[in-house]
Parts: sequence; structure tokens; C-alpha cells
Amino acid sequence: MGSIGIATDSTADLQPALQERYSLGMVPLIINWDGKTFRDKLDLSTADFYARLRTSKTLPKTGTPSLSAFEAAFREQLAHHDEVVSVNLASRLSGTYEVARRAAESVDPQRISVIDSGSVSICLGWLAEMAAGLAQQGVTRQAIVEKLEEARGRLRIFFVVDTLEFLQRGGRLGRAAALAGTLLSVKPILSIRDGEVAPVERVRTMNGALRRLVELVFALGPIERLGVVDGDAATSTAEAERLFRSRYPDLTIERGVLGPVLGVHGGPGVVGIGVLLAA
Amino acid sequence: MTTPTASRDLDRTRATGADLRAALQLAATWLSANAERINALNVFPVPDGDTGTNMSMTLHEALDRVRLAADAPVNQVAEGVARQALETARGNSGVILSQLLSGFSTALAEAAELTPVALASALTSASEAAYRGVSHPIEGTILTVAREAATAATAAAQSGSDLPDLLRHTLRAASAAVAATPSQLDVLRKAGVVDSGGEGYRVILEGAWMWSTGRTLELDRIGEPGRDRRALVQANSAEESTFGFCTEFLLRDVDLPVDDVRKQMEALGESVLAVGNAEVMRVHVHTLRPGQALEFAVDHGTLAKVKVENMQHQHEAFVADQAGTPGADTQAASSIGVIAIAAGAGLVKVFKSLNARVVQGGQTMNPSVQEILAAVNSSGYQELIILPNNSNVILTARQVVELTPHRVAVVPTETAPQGIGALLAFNFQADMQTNVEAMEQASHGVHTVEVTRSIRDAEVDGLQVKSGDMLGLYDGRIVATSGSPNEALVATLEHGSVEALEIVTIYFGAGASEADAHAVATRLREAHPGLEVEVVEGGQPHYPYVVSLE
Repeated sequence: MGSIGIATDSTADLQPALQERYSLGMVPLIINWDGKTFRDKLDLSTADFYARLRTSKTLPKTGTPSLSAFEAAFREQLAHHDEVVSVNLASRLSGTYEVARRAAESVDPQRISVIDSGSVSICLGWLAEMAAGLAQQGVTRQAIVEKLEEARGRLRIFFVVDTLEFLQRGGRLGRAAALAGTLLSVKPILSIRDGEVAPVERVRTMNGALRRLVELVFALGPIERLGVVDGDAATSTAEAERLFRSRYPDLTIERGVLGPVLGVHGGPGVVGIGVLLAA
Repeated sequence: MTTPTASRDLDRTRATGADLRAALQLAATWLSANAERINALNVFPVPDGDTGTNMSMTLHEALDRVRLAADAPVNQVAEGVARQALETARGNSGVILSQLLSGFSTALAEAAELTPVALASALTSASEAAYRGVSHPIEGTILTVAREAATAATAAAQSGSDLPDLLRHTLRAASAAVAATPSQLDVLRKAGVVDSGGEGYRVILEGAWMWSTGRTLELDRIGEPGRDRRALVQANSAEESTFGFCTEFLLRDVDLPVDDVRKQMEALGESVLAVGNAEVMRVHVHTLRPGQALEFAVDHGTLAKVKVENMQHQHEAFVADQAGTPGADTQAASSIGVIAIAAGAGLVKVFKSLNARVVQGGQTMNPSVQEILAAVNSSGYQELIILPNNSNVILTARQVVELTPHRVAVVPTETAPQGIGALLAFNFQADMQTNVEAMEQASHGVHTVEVTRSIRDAEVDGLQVKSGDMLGLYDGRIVATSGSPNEALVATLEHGSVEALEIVTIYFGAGASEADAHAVATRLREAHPGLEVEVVEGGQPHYPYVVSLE
């Protein structure tokens, strides 16, 4: 039984150290902005992206990685490993999974498995990390796929946006359109549910929304991992971390940063919460 | 003041179903004539909870909806009216009236005719049903009046009284019971009023007694309610006149020339129309005091075909119908629907923007059970949550739960801010039970400040209030008075602990401008730098400000 390489895409908001440690293949999505094309997180850093987004008159567009980008990533992994597991952004949010699947078909379908995470950001990162850990332990490709598919069902994402405008313009609002059009100023709380953006609640203030996030997570029952994700909302993210730490004193509250492609759809001022429920 | 006319051939010991119906019709007409006076019997000197209008409309609409053969026996008439009243009930007093009618009909279930003994037992059963319908019966209310009336009726029946005699004794006992209500309820004594619901029931008994003695007010009303409503409202909104009641009646055998009648009506209101002759005269007036117009009418002729409609309600319904419905009905994001009761075009829009369906009504025009029921049944949802947003609508909303095949829960919100707080806590992914609990909890987290104009002198909560003062209410308690809405608002806000608040939302309505509201908001922000203050158009009648503190 040979070794297994792991690939994902740039919407996995993963600690850079982990990516290096596991030599993950990280395929960047694409950002088109004012006629220029950037590779997510490579040609445009997260910090530069938000600084520009706050002042830009134009809204960038996002695109899936090219077929050849995935093919190259898979070939690169196959140069060092016998097999590849690729875990990708929710197929209902992006065509990225479909591109990865076609790339696997063209490179070597017998040796590459592509998994639809149904998730995004820090939660997608956890799946990639879990896959890499399992691969290091010498678990088979099929067993890794099964483990990821099981863990996928335990992922939950909540997030608060400053405005629904970016989700709306990016066409990712879905059923959460029910939250739009409110005549009062509110902070909408949304979730990623079955791979789609879905409405949860509306809260009048950001601090109120952060307190609700803690309650919503707490109502889920025992949890294994929890991460707060900063989408250009440093103060609120720090406050969320503080609130979760006092509610979960024995848990490590992980931190993530929402990358540019996801930032295009969330807009500035997003606080995200990723949860892996206990098995 | 009543109009004695030719005495009818009445069997003084037994009444038919048609007689019962005629008696109830006369009682309903008499109640409308007295509605304004009863409305004014309000503990708080604020424009709120119109008991007279609610009871009158409950009874009128129930009678209008009963479809029975002219010779239907007493039990069918009683049962028919009682069943309709369950749906036409408006406000707490209307709900209690529907319970009285329900008890009344239960005792007559086997009765083809109404004898004095049967009437006494029906009035007793009515009283018992009303007591059962209230979780914590309080003396000095309509309950006491119903019980005293039933006791007197029973005594009269036992001593062999005929129907007119029995009703006279009953009415006398009811009058005494109404007069005694201030000695039983401190709030009534302090406010210097008798209980309004009790007085409404007394007026109904008085109407029945008038019928039994052969007095008549001619009964059928003009047309169906709601007819030509739109044209009427459009004409009215163009005039920008003070709203009130569109009052129309036919008067027969008039003892005054038509010009004198017109002059008299012009003193009471505007848009006066008086045509005809001494034999029959048609009169139309827009007035805040329809009771006075009708009393004048019965003093000078035989009143026929009365129609009284609240134009402000029509106006709001019209305005809201015209308004867009942003955010509403976007996609079926949850399997649970929410219905909110709201008054004022702005507040209606706020509720709609939060995905609620809205039934018009509120402070001075409470919706009927039927209106809420229709909204529930036509909503397309199997599960619904109702936000009454007014303490006088909660009972009405709860009646709906029993009458619909849908699964309905009432979150008993007492103000629009509480309702909005509850609605915001609605979780699109949670089930009914979880949502009801979360919304109820959220409604308790919202404090409400209201500013309105006192409608009379009073001493309330230790404060001397003059008619015309601006009153500031904090969670329904009067805590401040002032000459101006803005000063009353600021004084009332200081009553709550503003430091502990995160956001204050000011809904400005009749009597306050957007600029006024922003001026207060600026003052608040300066005094409390961490506080978010939002100004939203509420458009609510009678209340310059309704404010939510969260």
C-alpha cells in the first residue's frame, strides 16, 4: 500500500503552517477585478484584498480554478504519492468541485478521489487537515473518503454579515433572500446548510449577533472543534473569540481568516463560526 | 331619549326566535348609539381599547352573518348568533361578549320559545360561561355585571314576572352593578370611570328591555360593511380631514325640518349631507362622535338603517394596501408563517419587511377574530405564530387557535416593539415550539416607550394629568407628562436605564415629524455615545412616538 497525497482549493481557510507541514496541493480560485486576473491568496494577499475592497467602486468577480490548474496539482501530488484525495468547496456554491472531478478523470480516475465537502472556509480546511493526518497514518484512500464523508455531516457554519449586498450581488443569497429588505438596521445571521447559504436569524446589533452565535452553537450539543473566522472584522472576531472562550473554557478556540474569494461574497465585516460536532 | 312608537302585539310571557333576533338587533343598534360614550370609559386617558366599538361591532357583525329562516326557533337563533360571535369578536370585551352569548345559547339548546324562566337560566348560563372563559376573574368588571343581572333575572322569574318585567329588574340590577364597579376596582375609582365592558353589557340588556316594552329603533343597517370603502377613503384622504366615523342613517317621522337637522349635524362634524323630508330623511356626517348624532336622531324621529364606520381604520387599511411589501413572501425560507397585528403604514411596512403577514388594527381599532382567522387560513402555512402586539388583541388571537385547522400559537406581545423584537428572534431553521419560546423570551427583552396625548383629566399612577398633556408611558405605565411630545419622550427614556441599552429605535407617528424624531435621536446620541439610535417612520395613529429599547 502506497502513500496518499491530499489536495484542496483556496477556499479552505487553513493555517499556512499546516499546509506546508502536509505539503497539501492548494489549487487557487480566480478573482477578476477591473480587468485583471488574480489567483486567490497567491497574487492577492488577504490583507491587500480587504483594503482594496473597502474603497473599490467595482465588485470583483470570482471564478473556479482552471481545469489545467487542477490537473497540474494532481500530477504534482502523484509525482510524490501513489494516490490522491481532493476535498473541495461545496458543489452547490461553486463549480470548483466539478472542475476537480473532471481533472481527476483526465489525469487518472483510478488513483484520485474527489470529495464534495458541502462546506467552506475553516471547515473545509479541517477536512483537508483530517485527510492529511489519516494519510500519514497510512489509512487507505477508500477509508479516508469514508471518514471525510462521515465528518462532513458533522460540520456546521454560522456567519454574520454586515450587509447582505455582497451575497446578493454574487448570486449566493439563495433562501436567505428572506432576510433582505428589512427596514430596520439588522445584522443577519446565516448558515451554510446542505452546501447552501440559508437564513437563520436577524439581530439588531453586532454584539447581540455575536451573543446569539454562542447560543446557536451551544444548542448544537457537544462539539469537537470550534473556530472563529475573521472576514475583515478584527474587533468583532476578537469579541466572538472571547465569548466562545468563556462558554467553552476547555476547548481550543481556533482562529481563521476568510480568504479573498470568500470575502468577495461575504463583503467586509464578516464573522464566521465553524463547528465540528462531536462524533 | 328613546323613541317610543306604537306598541306591538307582544306576548309578554313567551318570545319566538324572531323576537329574540329583533331584541338582539335593537340591542346592537342601541349599543352602536352608545359606543362612543362607552369608548370614553377608559382607565388610562389614552386613545386605546375602544370597548364600545368592539362590543358593538362584535354583535352587529354576528347578527349580520346569521342566516336563518324567519321562523327559526329560539335555540337556532341563539346558537347561530353565538357561533358567529366567536369569529366576529374584537378586543377583550368582544371576546367576553362572545362567551356570554355562547353560555346564553347553551342554556337554550332545547328551547323553541323564550319564557321568563328560560331567559333567566340563559342569563345565568351566560354569566357562568364568561367567568369560565377568564383565567383570573376580577370583580368590578363585566363579569360582576353579568352575574348580578342573572341573579336578578332568576329572582324575577321565580316571583312570576313576565318578560318585560324580568328585563326591567335585570336592567336595574345591571345598572346598580355598573355603578358599583368603581368601589370594587381601584383603577376605576382613581380614573373616575365605571367599567366599560360592564356598561356595554348593561346597554345590551337595556336594548333588550326597550324591545320588550315595544320601543323600536328601526333596525336594518345600510348595505354591507366595506361597500364603497375605497372610494370613500380616497375622497377623504384628499381632504386631509380629521378622521372619525362615517355615520349614515335614515330617519322617519322627523319632527324637525331638514335644514335644522343639517345644521345640527354640521355642529358635530363635516361632510354633512341631509336630504329628504319629515317623512323620511337621509343623513350623512363624518364625526368623531357618532353616538351624539344617533342620539339626536332618536330624539327627533324613528331611527332606521344605521351605518357607522371607522374611517381611520379604513384609511390605514387603504394606505397599507397601496404600500409595497418589501421582503415579504420572498421564498419559502421556513415552513412557519408569522402574522402580526399592526396599525400605521410605517409599522405595517416594518413587519412586512421582516416577512410577517399583517392584519390591520391596533390601538383604537382591534381586529376581529374573523379577520385574524382569515389571514391564518389564507396564509398557505400549516404552522403559524400570531403576534397580537396589543394587550387588547391577545384574547382575540387566542380564539383563533381554537377555530382554525392550522397549528397556531400566540406569542402574547403587547406592543409593536415587543412584536418586532419577537419577530427578529424568529429562527428560520428552528421548529415551531423552539421559535415560540425564543420569540416570547425575546419580547420580554424589549422595553416600550409610548408618547400620546391625554384625552381627559385624570390622576394616574400618582401623576396629575390634564386633558391635552403629552403622556410618556414606559411599558404601559405613565411616568412623565409634558407639553411637547419630544420633552415627554426624553423624560420617559430617562426613566429606563439607558446605559444598559444597545439600540433605541424611534418610530414616529401622528403628531411627530421625522425632523422632530431626529432631533430627539441626536440628543440621545450626544448624551449616550455608545448607544445606537435609529429613526423609523411608524405612521401609527394617536401616538407621536412608539420607541423600542433593546
